[in-house]
Amino acid sequence: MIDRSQLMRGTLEGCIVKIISKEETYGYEIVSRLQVYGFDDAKEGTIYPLLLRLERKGIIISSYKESPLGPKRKYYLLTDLGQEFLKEFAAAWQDVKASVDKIMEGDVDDV
Amino acid sequence: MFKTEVTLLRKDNIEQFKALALEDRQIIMDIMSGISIFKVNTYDIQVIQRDLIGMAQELRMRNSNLQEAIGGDIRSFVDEVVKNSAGPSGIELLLSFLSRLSVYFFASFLYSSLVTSGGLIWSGYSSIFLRELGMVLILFIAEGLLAPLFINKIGFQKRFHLYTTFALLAGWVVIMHFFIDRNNRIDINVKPILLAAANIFAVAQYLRKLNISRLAKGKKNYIQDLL
Repeated sequence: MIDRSQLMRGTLEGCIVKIISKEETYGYEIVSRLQVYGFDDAKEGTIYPLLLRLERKGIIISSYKESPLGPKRKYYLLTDLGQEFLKEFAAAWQDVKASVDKIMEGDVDDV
Repeated sequence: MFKTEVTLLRKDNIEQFKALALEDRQIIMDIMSGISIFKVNTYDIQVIQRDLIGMAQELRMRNSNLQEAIGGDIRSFVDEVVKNSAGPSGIELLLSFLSRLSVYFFASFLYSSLVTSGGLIWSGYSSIFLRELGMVLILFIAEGLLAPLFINKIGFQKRFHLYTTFALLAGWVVIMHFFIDRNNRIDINVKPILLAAANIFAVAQYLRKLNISRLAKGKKNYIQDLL
């Protein structure tokens, strides 16, 4: 009944930025990490448009580097603007989480 | 003379594309046919294609493929990519139209001179210029806007834009035939038309090169890293 992918979609962008903030990384690795943390539906095709948007906004930058597996691979790196974005996302997420927690854990009729 | 960041990327993309599995090539072709210069500028189109090629190569080495990574709905994927990309370039659209217009005029008037009229000065209806302009406009818009609408279709439906384009061209010719002023014939000197077309083409190509450099500004690492 609950569309988990729809619920998680809005937060995916922030999670991708967080993963990239740890170290320079590439598409497949981002997908793997998202799946480890419960984004089971995440695929390269899901995150690619988001990576395009983040790059367009100047939150991340990319470059091609040698890959041990074969052809050159596109790596993503966080910019200074990306650091700011991450702080804002973390704060916004805490606010949303707190609000949802209050409603879900309390008796809505008492509000 | 007209070598640009786009031509360099395109050359590399063609080489890499040939080495892909047939199914991956088909998916990339379907995706790219949905991304025209009416939606995304030429430089970003080549970068997107390079990204898809890289994605396909990476997935194959992990025993997966593009179909699995993108899912069955190519149209949704294309819509997402277009929505999140840098968008079209108005200057590029104008220059691209001028390039096609000049090539079409050059070819059309040269053909008429050599094959049907037998000389560089001949008599014709004054509306010929409007007719040719309309033809180029229809072809340009059909290629950029109609073709992407049918990327998810198969068989007859996939080629629907071709039939629609043909019908529009035929309709335009019929309209011009009925509204033609048959008393208004003029001497058409093809030489200046050919010269003007050639000059417009050269200037448009040069300006396109400058525009592409502007679009690629700050992103040249792609080319340096890739080649």
